[in-house]
Order: sequence, then C-alpha cells, then structure tokens
Amino acid sequence: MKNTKSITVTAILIGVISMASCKKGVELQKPLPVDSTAPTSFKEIKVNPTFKWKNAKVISLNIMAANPEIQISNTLLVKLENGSVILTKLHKMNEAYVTNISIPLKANNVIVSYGSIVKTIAISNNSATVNFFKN
Amino acid sequence: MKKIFLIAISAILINTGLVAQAILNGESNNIEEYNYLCWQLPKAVKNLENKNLIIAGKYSFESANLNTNNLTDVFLKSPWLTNGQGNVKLTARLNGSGAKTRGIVFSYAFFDADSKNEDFTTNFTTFYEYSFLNMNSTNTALISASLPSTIKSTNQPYKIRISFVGTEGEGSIVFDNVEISGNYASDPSNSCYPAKTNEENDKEDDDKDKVANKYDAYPKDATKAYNNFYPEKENGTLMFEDLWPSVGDYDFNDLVVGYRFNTVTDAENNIVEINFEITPKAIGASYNNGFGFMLNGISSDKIYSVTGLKTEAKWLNLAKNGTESDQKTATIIVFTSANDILPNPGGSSGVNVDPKATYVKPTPISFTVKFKDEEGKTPNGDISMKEFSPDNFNPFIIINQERGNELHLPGYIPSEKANTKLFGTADDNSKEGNYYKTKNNLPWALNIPAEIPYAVEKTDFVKAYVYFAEWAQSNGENYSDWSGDNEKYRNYDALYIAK
Repeated sequence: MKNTKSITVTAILIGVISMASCKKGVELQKPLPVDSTAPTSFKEIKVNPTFKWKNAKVISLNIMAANPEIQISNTLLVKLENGSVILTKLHKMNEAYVTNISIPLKANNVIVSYGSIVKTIAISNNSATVNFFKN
Repeated sequence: MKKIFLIAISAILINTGLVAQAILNGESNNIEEYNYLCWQLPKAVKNLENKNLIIAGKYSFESANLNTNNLTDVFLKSPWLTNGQGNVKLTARLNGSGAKTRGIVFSYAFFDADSKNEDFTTNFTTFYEYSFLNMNSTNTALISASLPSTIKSTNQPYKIRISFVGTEGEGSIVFDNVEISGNYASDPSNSCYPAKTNEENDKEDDDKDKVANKYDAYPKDATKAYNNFYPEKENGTLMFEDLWPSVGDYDFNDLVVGYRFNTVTDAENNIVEINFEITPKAIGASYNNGFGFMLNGISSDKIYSVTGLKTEAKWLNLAKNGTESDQKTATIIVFTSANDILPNPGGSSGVNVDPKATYVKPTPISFTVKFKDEEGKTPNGDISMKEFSPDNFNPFIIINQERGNELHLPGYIPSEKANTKLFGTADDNSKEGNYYKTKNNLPWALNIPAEIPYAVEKTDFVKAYVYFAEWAQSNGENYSDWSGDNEKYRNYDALYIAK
C-alpha cells in the first residue's frame, strides 16, 4: 500500500513537472494573439473617421535658446535610438529653433547631439523640447 | 537684491556694453545645470535651501564642512572668460560653530593647450585672500577684489577659482551672487574648452562655410553643407490601387514605387537641392500609369531646375525649370508610362507581382531638384529646411495616361491638374481638406517609410500583413510596427519577395 502511494505521488510529480515543461514550451511557440473579429479583407476594416493612415509621425522639435552671450555655432544632429539621423543643421546656441521632423510611429525618444552635448529627449504630445542647460 | 533673469538657468553672463561678467547664484538648485554652463562646482559645494541661512532669493550655496587650508579641496571654478577689467565678488557668511579660521581665496589660471593640469589650465595663482575675523558672527560680508593686471592686460582665456578654507570646528561658508568680470569664452558644446577663435575654426573648415570639415558632407564646397536622407537608411515604399474612384481588389500592387530623397542644405540651413531616387518596382495593373509628386508648400517658381529626368507624354507640359507647367505648387512628373520603365517580360500579366513569372530588375530613376543656381543664388528666395519636411512629399499616380485622373495618398491635396469632377463619384468621398478616401475612410494608397515587400497579385493586403488591420482599427495605437520583418507579422506566402 505504502509503495503504491509512493508510486502514485511520484507519477503525479513527474506528470506535473512534465506538464509544466510542456506548458513552457507551448508558450514559447505561442503566436501573438489575433483578434477573432479581425477583418479578413481590407474592405472590412473599420477605422476612426480621423485616422490618417500614416506610418510616420510628424513631431515638433523645439530647441530652446541659451543666453545671448553664448555665441557658439555647432552642428546639431537629431537621431533616433537606432542611430538613424533625422536632421542635421548648423545651429547657433543662443537662437531658438522650431521645426517639424518625421519619425517612425514607434519612436518614443529622439537623441539630440550638439558637439559634446548629447541628450535623449522624450517625445510628449508630438513634441520634443531641448534645453541644453536643463536636465 | 538677487538678480532674476528670464532665462531658466541662473548661472549666466551679462553684458551691458561696459560691464561683462559671469554671474552665479543658486536659483537653479541643481549643481549639474551649472556644470552644463561650464562652471565647475564639485561635490564639496551644494545648493542650500535652509531659510535661516539663505543670503538672497530661494537658494544659496554652501561649502562642505571646512577643516583644511588646501585650496583644491572646497572650491568652484568659473567658465573660461576673456577681457575682464573689473572685480571678482561674492557675498558670504559663516555657518556652524567652533571654527578657528575661515577664509575665501581667489586664484586665476590661463588656458594652456599643452598643460597636464585638469581642463588645460596653467597653475593657479592666488591674487586675493579674505579671512573672516569674527568666527561667531553670521553677518553677510561682501567680498570683492580687482582682477590682477596680468588678466586685464591680455585677451587670453582665464578661469577664476574661488576656494573656501578653514580650520577646526564644525562649520561651512554660505555664499551667493558670485560675479566675475569678463566675457564668457567657454564652449559648452565642446566639453567647456575655450571657444575657438575664427582663425582656429577656419583651420578645420576648408570651404570656410562655418561648418567644420568633420560635419560637412561637402567640405570643399561652400554652397553645400549637410545631407538629410529620408528615409534615412533604406527606400520607402509607395503602394497604389489604381481603380480610383472605385475600390479595387486591395492588393495594393497596381503600382509599387520605392523612394528615397536627400535634402542637401547649406550652412544657413537653406535647401540647395533635393536628390531623388525613385524606383518603379511592380505593376499589378492593366492600366499604364504615370507617377509624380508635389512638394507641398513650395511654389513652382522657387525651383531653379529639375535635372536628370526624361519625361515625355502628350499630356505633359513642362515649364522651363522642369516642373510641370501651370501648377502653383512645385510638381514633378517622374515617369509618364510605368509600362515603358518596367516592361512586361511576357508570360503573365503585370510585372513583379507573380512569383512564378520572370523577375524584372527595377532601375532606379535618379534626378535632382535644384533650388539654387551654380553661384548659390535662388530664383525667388531661399527655402529654409524648416519649410520642408518629408510630410510635404506628396506622391501621386496618373491613372492610365489621363492627366486629370490623379490619385494621391489619403488626405493629401490634389494638384491643379486633377479632375475634381471625379471627387465624390463611385466609392470616393473626397472633400475639401480630406481627399482620396472612401466613405469608410479607406485609402487607395499607402506610404511606408521602409523597404517592405508588397502583396502578390490578387492577394488582399490584410492577408499579407497579419497585424495591419489591427493597427488601422486601433487608430494606429496597436502594432505600429505592423510591417516588421518577422514571420509572426508577415505572411511570406502572400508577399512578393524580389529574387
């Protein structure tokens, strides 16, 4: 009887362990969830009337001016986190600059480099504001 | 009274014509921000917000506890300055008890590019020492000393070091309103080294356009400075359905065009030229379509020339500058007949849309839209880089050789040659300000700023890209990377992969 119990418990344990292992394997293979109501043809797509179908977003880049006495010109580079250069321009540090830049939809930050100054700027409300002298 | 400046940072320079000076007060309350402006405030100096000790404003500075006369233990250093003629001054008071001595020492050093000292200074020379006489007094003292004549008689960059010293007891020095005579001469964009002189800049700038060679894409050509590619690393992909104003089979391969352009700017950030590379990649249509684009916001007369295109058609008239005539907005027709550019190899209908048919290697069409002549002059004023972003690129097809039958990306404006009578007919629901969409807001064209494969003939686009529909239906919130190159996102059996 005792032996039977031991065998049963061992079997259950092996089963649980192997199920857990299988489950892990299944999860690794599991495809990303697909909405069962997802359209099967383009015609069935229902979009918001304001949806613009754009695969890039245009954001406003605002570079704040430093004190007028800091009369430095240098090359301003605006990059994505993957290193892609979005904008290159000669920039005077004591002048404000505002422009629109086009970046991928999934980009959350831009990296602004100005000589030795490098800042990662978070995009918020389709805008990125750069102050060289503020955190 | 503490000086308050509109600028958000409180370590600044003022120049009233007669008096130029560097000012440091504590109002930023962030030591790092003073360091950005090239002041050096080591950890031994901190912002202070104890109301009982503040000298002026909301914040002052406080030294660490002083128990040494070493001038390099507790100090601050100014940015590089030049041509100082006045004083170094600050206000200070004691804090703590049991001190035997407390003092403040002013020293200066010049810039020496060959120096082995930190930040390329010569050795510091002391020119003023102040000692607090009453160790129990907390009165504020104004401490001031004239710059030494060695500084006044030269235009060499110099730094002022203010050291805080003392022995015994538990106590610090609270200080504020540091003012140092001189013109700001540090370069925050060059690790705070002295700003280069024009002569030094010229040595690193062959074409003397103010853009250093290391950044200048055209170091020998003063009329050009920078390249700005879009997309930056690869071609973008334009895909059209050409049955507009009726909807089609939504395989979005009736005409597939690759694109990339380089906006070349000068040192003034004006556009010199835009170099385009347009690649007709596939034709999945029975119509023979043309392709062009508008440069939204740029009038035709701003273009000096369009070079490198050989477009001809009965329906096409070009102005002298190579843009399409009678268009207010600059409009460039890249090719008039897709069938001539990407000929059918035989054996099937269409080109590069049937994986079983012969692949025709696309040939890129390269051309240049110039905004300036060879001397750098513009016909009707400069176009700043600010005025043109990739969003102004407005590509369209001319359906089946009917000039007025033009189809653009959703929401983009038509050209003046568009037959507006077609708007609102069949499935089109174009309205002023919102063109080229159906009543259900569905498009006839897509623009992806990346090189992606398109659907094979007669294959619905949503079957090719698994998460495209979800992206659209979520208003772009979900799966913004729907075109990503992985097998979970792409159904490779439904995509034409170039061989």
